[in-house]
Amino acid sequence: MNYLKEFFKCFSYPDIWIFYSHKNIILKYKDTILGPFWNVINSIFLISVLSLSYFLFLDPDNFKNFVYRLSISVFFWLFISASLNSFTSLLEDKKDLLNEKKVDVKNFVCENIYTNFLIFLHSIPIILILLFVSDFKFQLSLLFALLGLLMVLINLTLIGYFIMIMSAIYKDVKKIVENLVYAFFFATPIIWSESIVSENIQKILYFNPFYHFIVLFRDPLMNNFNERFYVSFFICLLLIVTIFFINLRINKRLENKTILYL
Amino acid sequence: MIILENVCLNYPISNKNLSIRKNIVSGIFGSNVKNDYIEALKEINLKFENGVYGLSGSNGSGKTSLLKLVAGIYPPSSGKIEVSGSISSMIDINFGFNPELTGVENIEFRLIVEGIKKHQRESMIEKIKHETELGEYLYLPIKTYSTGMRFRLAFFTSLYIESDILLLDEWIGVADQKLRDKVDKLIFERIAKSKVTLIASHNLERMQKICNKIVFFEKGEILKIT
Repeated sequence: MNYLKEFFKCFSYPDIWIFYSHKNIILKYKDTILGPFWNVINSIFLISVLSLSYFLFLDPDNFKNFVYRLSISVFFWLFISASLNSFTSLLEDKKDLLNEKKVDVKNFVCENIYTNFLIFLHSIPIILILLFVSDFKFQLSLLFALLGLLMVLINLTLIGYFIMIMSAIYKDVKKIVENLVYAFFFATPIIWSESIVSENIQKILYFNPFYHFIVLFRDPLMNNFNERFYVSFFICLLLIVTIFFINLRINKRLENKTILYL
Repeated sequence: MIILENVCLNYPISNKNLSIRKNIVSGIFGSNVKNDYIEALKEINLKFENGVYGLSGSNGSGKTSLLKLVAGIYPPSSGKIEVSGSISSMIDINFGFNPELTGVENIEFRLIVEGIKKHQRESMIEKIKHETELGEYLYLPIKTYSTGMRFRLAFFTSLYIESDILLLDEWIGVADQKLRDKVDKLIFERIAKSKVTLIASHNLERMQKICNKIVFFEKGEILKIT
Protein backbone atom coordinates (compact mmCIF):
# COMPACT_ATOMS: atom_id res chain seq x y z
CA MET A 1 0.00 0.00 0.00
CA ASN A 2 2.82 2.39 -0.90
CA TYR A 3 0.32 4.47 -2.86
CA LEU A 4 -1.67 5.31 0.25
CA LYS A 5 1.46 5.89 2.34
CA GLU A 6 2.82 8.31 -0.24
CA PHE A 7 -0.45 10.26 -0.22
CA PHE A 8 -0.38 10.48 3.58
CA LYS A 9 3.22 11.68 3.35
CA CYS A 10 2.06 14.54 1.09
CA PHE A 11 -0.51 15.50 3.72
CA SER A 12 1.95 15.25 6.61
CA TYR A 13 4.35 17.64 4.82
CA PRO A 14 1.98 19.90 2.86
CA ASP A 15 4.49 22.77 2.43
CA ILE A 16 5.26 21.84 -1.21
CA TRP A 17 1.71 21.97 -2.55
CA ILE A 18 0.47 24.73 -0.27
CA PHE A 19 3.36 26.97 -1.36
CA TYR A 20 2.69 26.38 -5.04
CA SER A 21 -1.10 26.70 -4.70
CA HIS A 22 -0.82 30.15 -3.14
CA LYS A 23 1.75 31.22 -5.74
CA ASN A 24 -0.42 29.82 -8.57
CA ILE A 25 -3.33 31.99 -7.53
CA ILE A 26 -1.14 35.07 -7.09
CA LEU A 27 0.48 34.53 -10.50
CA LYS A 28 -2.77 33.70 -12.28
CA TYR A 29 -4.40 36.94 -11.20
CA LYS A 30 -1.25 39.06 -11.03
CA ASP A 31 -1.84 42.70 -12.00
CA THR A 32 -5.64 42.30 -11.99
CA ILE A 33 -7.71 44.44 -9.63
CA LEU A 34 -10.25 41.79 -8.64
CA GLY A 35 -7.92 38.77 -8.47
CA PRO A 36 -9.66 35.39 -8.05
CA PHE A 37 -13.01 37.20 -7.89
CA TRP A 38 -12.79 37.38 -11.70
CA ASN A 39 -13.65 33.70 -11.64
CA VAL A 40 -16.74 34.47 -9.57
CA ILE A 41 -17.69 37.33 -11.90
CA ASN A 42 -17.45 35.05 -14.93
CA SER A 43 -19.77 32.59 -13.23
CA ILE A 44 -22.17 35.36 -12.18
CA PHE A 45 -22.32 36.47 -15.80
CA LEU A 46 -23.25 32.95 -16.93
CA ILE A 47 -25.83 32.61 -14.15
CA SER A 48 -27.33 36.02 -15.01
CA VAL A 49 -27.74 35.14 -18.69
CA LEU A 50 -29.34 31.78 -17.88
CA SER A 51 -31.56 33.31 -15.19
CA LEU A 52 -32.70 36.05 -17.52
CA SER A 53 -33.59 33.49 -20.17
CA TYR A 54 -35.53 31.52 -17.58
CA PHE A 55 -37.33 34.66 -16.41
CA LEU A 56 -38.28 35.73 -19.93
CA PHE A 57 -39.25 32.40 -21.46
CA LEU A 58 -40.33 30.09 -18.64
CA ASP A 59 -42.41 30.11 -15.48
CA PRO A 60 -41.07 32.84 -13.18
CA ASP A 61 -42.86 31.56 -10.02
CA ASN A 62 -39.78 29.87 -8.59
CA PHE A 63 -37.34 32.39 -9.91
CA LYS A 64 -35.43 33.01 -6.63
CA ASN A 65 -35.05 29.30 -5.97
CA PHE A 66 -34.05 28.67 -9.56
CA VAL A 67 -31.24 31.24 -9.36
CA TYR A 68 -30.03 29.78 -6.05
CA ARG A 69 -30.04 26.23 -7.45
CA LEU A 70 -28.34 27.33 -10.64
CA SER A 71 -25.65 29.23 -8.73
CA ILE A 72 -24.70 26.29 -6.52
CA SER A 73 -24.60 24.00 -9.54
CA VAL A 74 -22.56 26.32 -11.77
CA PHE A 75 -20.01 27.29 -9.11
CA PHE A 76 -19.53 23.69 -8.07
CA TRP A 77 -19.33 22.46 -11.64
CA LEU A 78 -16.68 25.05 -12.48
CA PHE A 79 -14.62 23.79 -9.54
CA ILE A 80 -14.92 20.17 -10.76
CA SER A 81 -14.30 20.93 -14.44
CA ALA A 82 -11.38 23.33 -13.83
CA SER A 83 -9.72 20.73 -11.58
CA LEU A 84 -10.13 17.91 -14.10
CA ASN A 85 -8.99 19.97 -17.08
CA SER A 86 -5.86 21.24 -15.36
CA PHE A 87 -4.81 17.69 -14.42
CA THR A 88 -4.20 16.98 -18.10
CA SER A 89 -1.24 19.37 -18.36
CA LEU A 90 -0.04 19.26 -14.78
CA LEU A 91 3.08 17.13 -15.25
CA GLU A 92 4.05 18.89 -18.46
CA ASP A 93 4.01 22.16 -16.51
CA LYS A 94 6.24 20.64 -13.82
CA LYS A 95 8.72 19.14 -16.26
CA ASP A 96 11.60 21.43 -15.27
CA LEU A 97 11.26 20.64 -11.59
CA LEU A 98 10.85 16.90 -12.17
CA ASN A 99 13.99 16.83 -14.32
CA GLU A 100 16.01 18.42 -11.52
CA LYS A 101 14.72 16.79 -8.36
CA LYS A 102 12.80 13.68 -7.41
CA VAL A 103 9.45 15.00 -6.17
CA ASP A 104 6.45 12.81 -5.48
CA VAL A 105 3.93 13.70 -8.20
CA LYS A 106 1.07 13.22 -5.73
CA ASN A 107 2.05 16.63 -4.34
CA PHE A 108 0.88 18.12 -7.63
CA VAL A 109 -2.49 16.36 -7.33
CA CYS A 110 -2.98 17.97 -3.92
CA GLU A 111 -1.74 21.30 -5.28
CA ASN A 112 -4.22 21.31 -8.15
CA ILE A 113 -7.23 20.35 -6.02
CA TYR A 114 -6.27 22.88 -3.34
CA THR A 115 -5.72 25.71 -5.87
CA ASN A 116 -9.10 25.16 -7.51
CA PHE A 117 -10.77 24.72 -4.15
CA LEU A 118 -9.40 28.08 -2.95
CA ILE A 119 -10.80 29.72 -6.09
CA PHE A 120 -14.14 27.96 -5.49
CA LEU A 121 -14.22 29.31 -1.91
CA HIS A 122 -14.44 32.83 -3.35
CA SER A 123 -17.94 31.98 -4.59
CA ILE A 124 -19.23 30.87 -1.17
CA PRO A 125 -20.33 34.42 -0.13
CA ILE A 126 -22.53 34.59 -3.27
CA ILE A 127 -24.09 31.21 -2.44
CA LEU A 128 -24.76 32.36 1.15
CA ILE A 129 -26.36 35.62 -0.02
CA LEU A 130 -28.60 33.69 -2.40
CA LEU A 131 -29.48 31.23 0.37
CA PHE A 132 -30.80 34.16 2.43
CA VAL A 133 -32.75 35.53 -0.51
CA SER A 134 -34.25 32.16 -1.53
CA ASP A 135 -37.03 30.28 0.27
CA PHE A 136 -34.62 27.71 1.68
CA LYS A 137 -33.94 27.64 5.40
CA PHE A 138 -30.93 26.99 7.57
CA GLN A 139 -31.24 23.40 8.79
CA LEU A 140 -28.88 20.99 10.45
CA SER A 141 -28.94 18.89 7.27
CA LEU A 142 -26.99 21.70 5.54
CA LEU A 143 -23.93 20.25 7.26
CA PHE A 144 -24.23 17.17 5.08
CA ALA A 145 -23.08 19.37 2.21
CA LEU A 146 -19.65 19.35 3.91
CA LEU A 147 -19.68 15.56 4.00
CA GLY A 148 -20.68 15.56 0.34
CA LEU A 149 -17.91 18.02 -0.45
CA LEU A 150 -15.36 15.80 1.29
CA MET A 151 -16.58 12.83 -0.74
CA VAL A 152 -16.21 14.80 -3.98
CA LEU A 153 -12.72 16.00 -2.99
CA ILE A 154 -11.57 12.42 -2.40
CA ASN A 155 -13.05 11.36 -5.73
CA LEU A 156 -11.43 14.25 -7.59
CA THR A 157 -8.07 13.51 -5.97
CA LEU A 158 -8.17 9.90 -7.16
CA ILE A 159 -9.57 10.67 -10.62
CA GLY A 160 -7.05 13.53 -10.92
CA TYR A 161 -4.11 11.22 -10.20
CA PHE A 162 -5.35 8.84 -12.88
CA ILE A 163 -5.80 11.62 -15.48
CA MET A 164 -2.44 13.22 -14.60
CA ILE A 165 -0.43 10.03 -15.17
CA MET A 166 -2.37 8.86 -18.22
CA SER A 167 -2.27 12.23 -19.99
CA ALA A 168 1.50 12.43 -19.51
CA ILE A 169 1.96 9.07 -21.24
CA TYR A 170 -0.90 9.05 -23.73
CA LYS A 171 -1.17 12.45 -25.37
CA ASP A 172 -4.76 11.88 -26.57
CA VAL A 173 -6.05 11.74 -23.00
CA LYS A 174 -5.92 15.55 -22.69
CA LYS A 175 -8.34 16.05 -25.59
CA ILE A 176 -10.55 13.17 -24.45
CA VAL A 177 -10.87 14.65 -20.95
CA GLU A 178 -11.58 18.14 -22.30
CA ASN A 179 -14.35 16.84 -24.55
CA LEU A 180 -15.85 14.61 -21.86
CA VAL A 181 -15.94 17.47 -19.36
CA TYR A 182 -17.65 19.63 -21.97
CA ALA A 183 -20.19 16.89 -22.76
CA PHE A 184 -20.91 16.18 -19.10
CA PHE A 185 -21.76 19.83 -18.51
CA PHE A 186 -24.85 19.29 -20.66
CA ALA A 187 -25.45 15.70 -19.55
CA THR A 188 -25.56 16.65 -15.87
CA PRO A 189 -28.47 18.54 -14.31
CA ILE A 190 -26.64 21.82 -13.85
CA ILE A 191 -28.56 24.25 -16.03
CA TRP A 192 -31.59 21.95 -16.15
CA SER A 193 -33.46 20.00 -13.51
CA GLU A 194 -33.79 16.22 -13.40
CA SER A 195 -37.54 16.69 -12.76
CA ILE A 196 -38.10 17.89 -16.33
CA VAL A 197 -36.79 14.70 -17.94
CA SER A 198 -38.48 11.33 -18.30
CA GLU A 199 -38.04 8.53 -15.77
CA ASN A 200 -35.85 6.59 -18.17
CA ILE A 201 -33.43 9.51 -18.51
CA GLN A 202 -33.46 9.87 -14.73
CA LYS A 203 -32.38 6.23 -14.47
CA ILE A 204 -29.55 6.83 -16.93
CA LEU A 205 -28.41 9.77 -14.79
CA TYR A 206 -27.40 7.29 -12.10
CA PHE A 207 -24.55 6.22 -14.37
CA ASN A 208 -23.22 9.78 -14.51
CA PRO A 209 -20.71 10.24 -11.65
CA PHE A 210 -20.89 14.02 -11.97
CA TYR A 211 -24.60 13.88 -11.22
CA HIS A 212 -23.79 12.27 -7.86
CA PHE A 213 -21.07 14.85 -7.14
CA ILE A 214 -23.59 17.64 -7.71
CA VAL A 215 -26.28 15.89 -5.65
CA LEU A 216 -23.92 15.38 -2.70
CA PHE A 217 -23.17 19.10 -2.47
CA ARG A 218 -26.36 20.69 -3.79
CA ASP A 219 -29.17 18.65 -2.23
CA PRO A 220 -28.35 19.39 1.45
CA LEU A 221 -28.02 23.09 0.60
CA MET A 222 -31.52 23.01 -0.90
CA ASN A 223 -33.24 21.36 2.11
CA ASN A 224 -33.49 18.30 -0.06
CA PHE A 225 -31.77 15.76 2.14
CA ASN A 226 -33.39 12.42 1.37
CA GLU A 227 -32.60 8.90 0.19
CA ARG A 228 -31.14 10.28 -3.07
CA PHE A 229 -28.25 11.69 -1.05
CA TYR A 230 -27.55 8.26 0.46
CA VAL A 231 -27.67 6.60 -2.97
CA SER A 232 -25.23 9.16 -4.39
CA PHE A 233 -23.03 8.79 -1.33
CA PHE A 234 -22.92 5.03 -1.78
CA ILE A 235 -22.18 5.31 -5.51
CA CYS A 236 -19.35 7.79 -4.84
CA LEU A 237 -17.95 5.46 -2.20
CA LEU A 238 -18.00 2.65 -4.74
CA LEU A 239 -16.28 4.92 -7.25
CA ILE A 240 -13.54 5.72 -4.70
CA VAL A 241 -12.85 2.03 -4.10
CA THR A 242 -12.79 1.26 -7.85
CA ILE A 243 -10.47 4.13 -8.81
CA PHE A 244 -8.29 3.43 -5.80
CA PHE A 245 -7.55 -0.08 -7.04
CA ILE A 246 -6.93 1.14 -10.60
CA ASN A 247 -4.55 3.77 -9.20
CA LEU A 248 -2.72 1.15 -7.14
CA ARG A 249 -1.78 -0.52 -10.40
CA ILE A 250 -0.81 2.74 -12.07
CA ASN A 251 1.29 3.67 -9.06
CA LYS A 252 3.17 0.40 -9.22
CA ARG A 253 3.64 0.14 -12.97
CA LEU A 254 3.60 3.62 -14.48
CA GLU A 255 4.14 6.46 -11.99
CA ASN A 256 7.94 6.48 -11.80
CA LYS A 257 8.27 6.00 -15.58
CA THR A 258 6.13 9.06 -16.33
CA ILE A 259 9.11 11.43 -16.32
CA LEU A 260 10.52 9.60 -19.36
CA TYR A 261 7.46 10.59 -21.41
CA LEU A 262 7.54 14.32 -20.59
CA MET B 1 27.91 4.96 -1.32
CA ILE B 2 26.35 4.38 -4.73
CA ILE B 3 26.19 0.94 -6.37
CA LEU B 4 24.90 0.30 -9.89
CA GLU B 5 24.46 -3.32 -10.99
CA ASN B 6 23.67 -4.12 -14.63
CA VAL B 7 21.75 -0.88 -14.95
CA CYS B 8 20.02 -0.11 -18.26
CA LEU B 9 17.95 2.93 -19.14
CA ASN B 10 15.64 3.06 -22.13
CA TYR B 11 13.90 6.26 -23.23
CA PRO B 12 10.51 5.60 -24.81
CA ILE B 13 9.82 7.14 -28.20
CA SER B 14 6.29 8.02 -29.26
CA ASN B 15 4.55 5.23 -31.16
CA LYS B 16 2.99 7.64 -33.62
CA ASN B 17 4.49 7.64 -37.11
CA LEU B 18 7.06 5.23 -35.81
CA SER B 19 8.52 4.41 -39.17
CA ILE B 20 9.32 8.08 -39.94
CA ARG B 21 10.57 8.76 -36.44
CA LYS B 22 12.63 5.59 -36.51
CA ASN B 23 14.45 6.79 -39.58
CA ILE B 24 15.06 10.29 -38.27
CA VAL B 25 16.14 9.18 -34.80
CA SER B 26 18.36 6.38 -36.07
CA GLY B 27 20.06 8.94 -38.30
CA ILE B 28 20.92 11.00 -35.21
CA PHE B 29 21.61 8.33 -32.60
CA GLY B 30 22.89 5.52 -34.74
CA SER B 31 22.83 2.06 -33.22
CA ASN B 32 21.30 3.26 -29.91
CA VAL B 33 17.82 3.25 -31.43
CA LYS B 34 15.54 0.22 -31.19
CA ASN B 35 11.92 0.05 -32.35
CA ASP B 36 10.20 2.10 -29.67
CA TYR B 37 12.97 3.28 -27.35
CA ILE B 38 16.51 4.61 -27.17
CA GLU B 39 19.07 2.76 -25.08
CA ALA B 40 20.52 5.64 -23.08
CA LEU B 41 22.54 3.41 -20.74
CA LYS B 42 23.55 -0.21 -21.26
CA GLU B 43 24.59 -2.70 -18.58
CA ILE B 44 26.29 -0.19 -16.28
CA ASN B 45 28.21 -1.62 -13.33
CA LEU B 46 29.77 1.00 -11.07
CA LYS B 47 30.55 1.51 -7.42
CA PHE B 48 31.14 5.00 -6.04
CA GLU B 49 32.61 5.10 -2.54
CA ASN B 50 33.73 8.25 -0.73
CA GLY B 51 35.43 10.61 -3.17
CA VAL B 52 35.02 12.84 -6.19
CA TYR B 53 34.16 11.18 -9.50
CA GLY B 54 34.06 12.66 -12.98
CA LEU B 55 31.77 11.54 -15.79
CA SER B 56 33.11 12.33 -19.23
CA GLY B 57 31.88 11.75 -22.77
CA SER B 58 30.39 13.42 -25.79
CA ASN B 59 26.81 14.75 -25.97
CA GLY B 60 24.27 11.93 -25.62
CA SER B 61 26.82 9.51 -24.20
CA GLY B 62 24.78 8.96 -20.99
CA LYS B 63 26.44 11.24 -18.37
CA THR B 64 23.33 13.20 -17.42
CA SER B 65 21.14 10.08 -17.60
CA LEU B 66 23.42 8.44 -15.05
CA LEU B 67 23.17 11.45 -12.73
CA LYS B 68 19.38 11.40 -13.05
CA LEU B 69 19.29 7.68 -12.27
CA VAL B 70 21.38 8.22 -9.14
CA ALA B 71 19.17 11.18 -8.14
CA GLY B 72 16.11 8.93 -8.44
CA ILE B 73 14.62 11.12 -11.16
CA TYR B 74 14.71 8.31 -13.72
CA PRO B 75 13.86 4.72 -12.85
CA PRO B 76 16.23 2.09 -14.29
CA SER B 77 14.66 0.00 -17.05
CA SER B 78 16.52 -2.97 -15.62
CA GLY B 79 19.24 -3.60 -13.07
CA LYS B 80 19.64 -2.37 -9.53
CA ILE B 81 20.71 0.93 -7.96
CA GLU B 82 21.61 1.32 -4.31
CA VAL B 83 22.10 4.81 -2.95
CA SER B 84 22.86 5.38 0.70
CA GLY B 85 22.67 8.97 1.89
CA SER B 86 20.89 12.21 1.11
CA ILE B 87 21.28 13.80 -2.34
CA SER B 88 21.70 17.37 -3.49
CA SER B 89 21.85 18.10 -7.21
CA MET B 90 22.36 20.64 -9.97
CA ILE B 91 21.43 18.68 -13.07
CA ASP B 92 18.89 20.33 -15.32
CA ILE B 93 19.78 23.48 -17.27
CA ASN B 94 16.70 25.21 -15.77
CA PHE B 95 17.63 24.04 -12.26
CA GLY B 96 13.94 23.25 -11.62
CA PHE B 97 13.13 26.92 -11.18
CA ASN B 98 9.75 28.41 -11.91
CA PRO B 99 10.48 31.36 -14.23
CA GLU B 100 7.42 33.29 -13.03
CA LEU B 101 8.51 33.28 -9.39
CA THR B 102 11.09 35.68 -7.96
CA GLY B 103 14.59 34.62 -6.96
CA VAL B 104 13.67 34.58 -3.26
CA GLU B 105 10.52 32.54 -3.92
CA ASN B 106 12.51 30.03 -5.95
CA ILE B 107 15.06 29.71 -3.15
CA GLU B 108 12.26 29.13 -0.66
CA PHE B 109 10.59 26.54 -2.87
CA ARG B 110 13.86 24.68 -3.42
CA LEU B 111 14.38 24.50 0.34
CA ILE B 112 10.79 23.27 0.81
CA VAL B 113 11.34 20.52 -1.77
CA GLU B 114 14.48 19.49 0.11
CA GLY B 115 12.29 19.03 3.20
CA ILE B 116 13.84 21.83 5.24
CA LYS B 117 11.54 23.02 8.04
CA LYS B 118 10.14 26.54 8.13
CA HIS B 119 12.19 27.80 11.10
CA GLN B 120 15.43 26.75 9.40
CA ARG B 121 14.38 28.06 6.00
CA GLU B 122 14.21 31.70 7.04
CA SER B 123 17.83 31.90 8.21
CA MET B 124 19.03 29.88 5.20
CA ILE B 125 17.24 32.18 2.77
CA GLU B 126 18.98 35.19 4.32
CA LYS B 127 22.40 33.54 3.93
CA ILE B 128 21.73 32.48 0.34
CA LYS B 129 20.42 35.94 -0.56
CA HIS B 130 23.64 37.46 0.73
CA GLU B 131 25.92 34.99 -1.08
CA THR B 132 24.26 35.27 -4.49
CA GLU B 133 25.02 39.03 -4.62
CA LEU B 134 21.96 39.44 -6.84
CA GLY B 135 20.64 42.37 -4.83
CA GLU B 136 17.32 43.76 -6.06
CA TYR B 137 17.13 41.12 -8.80
CA LEU B 138 16.20 38.61 -6.10
CA TYR B 139 12.77 40.22 -5.98
CA LEU B 140 12.19 39.98 -9.73
CA PRO B 141 10.82 36.96 -11.61
CA ILE B 142 13.75 34.81 -12.69
CA LYS B 143 12.55 34.87 -16.30
CA THR B 144 14.31 38.26 -16.31
CA TYR B 145 17.63 36.68 -15.25
CA SER B 146 20.56 35.82 -17.49
CA THR B 147 21.81 32.20 -17.49
CA GLY B 148 24.73 33.25 -15.27
CA MET B 149 22.38 34.82 -12.74
CA ARG B 150 20.26 31.68 -12.65
CA PHE B 151 23.42 29.67 -12.12
CA ARG B 152 24.34 31.88 -9.15
CA LEU B 153 20.93 31.33 -7.62
CA ALA B 154 21.00 27.57 -8.19
CA PHE B 155 24.58 27.13 -7.10
CA PHE B 156 24.34 29.01 -3.81
CA THR B 157 20.99 27.40 -3.00
CA SER B 158 22.43 23.91 -3.57
CA LEU B 159 25.54 24.86 -1.63
CA TYR B 160 23.57 25.44 1.56
CA ILE B 161 21.67 22.18 1.33
CA GLU B 162 23.77 19.71 3.22
CA SER B 163 23.87 16.21 1.76
CA ASP B 164 25.96 13.07 1.59
CA ILE B 165 25.91 12.95 -2.19
CA LEU B 166 26.42 15.90 -4.51
CA LEU B 167 25.51 15.63 -8.22
CA LEU B 168 26.73 18.34 -10.61
CA ASP B 169 26.19 18.54 -14.35
CA GLU B 170 28.26 20.95 -16.47
CA TRP B 171 28.37 23.03 -13.32
CA ILE B 172 30.78 25.76 -14.27
CA GLY B 173 30.18 26.43 -17.96
CA VAL B 174 27.80 29.35 -17.57
CA ALA B 175 29.66 31.26 -14.85
CA ASP B 176 31.81 34.31 -15.65
CA GLN B 177 35.51 34.39 -14.66
CA LYS B 178 34.94 36.30 -11.40
CA LEU B 179 32.20 33.90 -10.36
CA ARG B 180 34.26 30.87 -11.44
CA ASP B 181 36.99 31.73 -8.96
CA LYS B 182 34.49 32.11 -6.15
CA VAL B 183 32.65 28.94 -7.20
CA ASP B 184 35.93 26.99 -7.42
CA LYS B 185 36.80 27.84 -3.85
CA LEU B 186 33.33 27.07 -2.54
CA ILE B 187 32.92 23.90 -4.55
CA PHE B 188 36.05 22.44 -2.99
CA GLU B 189 34.68 23.22 0.47
CA ARG B 190 31.32 21.70 -0.47
CA ILE B 191 32.93 18.60 -2.01
CA ALA B 192 34.87 18.13 1.21
CA LYS B 193 31.58 18.07 3.15
CA SER B 194 29.94 15.52 0.83
CA LYS B 195 30.87 11.88 0.97
CA VAL B 196 30.37 11.25 -2.73
CA THR B 197 30.47 13.84 -5.51
CA LEU B 198 29.65 13.07 -9.14
CA ILE B 199 30.56 15.69 -11.72
CA ALA B 200 29.54 15.40 -15.37
CA SER B 201 31.51 17.67 -17.67
CA HIS B 202 33.23 18.05 -21.03
CA ASN B 203 36.15 19.84 -19.40
CA LEU B 204 38.59 16.97 -18.90
CA GLU B 205 41.46 19.17 -17.70
CA ARG B 206 39.31 20.65 -14.94
CA MET B 207 38.01 17.24 -13.87
CA GLN B 208 41.49 15.75 -13.74
CA LYS B 209 42.41 18.39 -11.15
CA ILE B 210 39.61 17.60 -8.73
CA CYS B 211 38.43 14.03 -9.37
CA ASN B 212 39.77 10.81 -7.88
CA LYS B 213 38.47 8.82 -10.82
CA ILE B 214 36.96 9.63 -14.20
CA VAL B 215 34.46 7.37 -15.97
CA PHE B 216 34.37 7.77 -19.75
CA PHE B 217 31.10 7.08 -21.56
CA GLU B 218 30.34 6.41 -25.20
CA LYS B 219 26.87 5.67 -26.61
CA GLY B 220 25.53 4.69 -23.20
CA GLU B 221 28.38 2.34 -22.34
CA ILE B 222 31.44 2.65 -20.15
CA LEU B 223 34.48 3.07 -22.33
CA LYS B 224 37.13 3.22 -19.63
CA ILE B 225 37.79 4.30 -16.05
CA THR B 226 40.96 6.19 -15.16
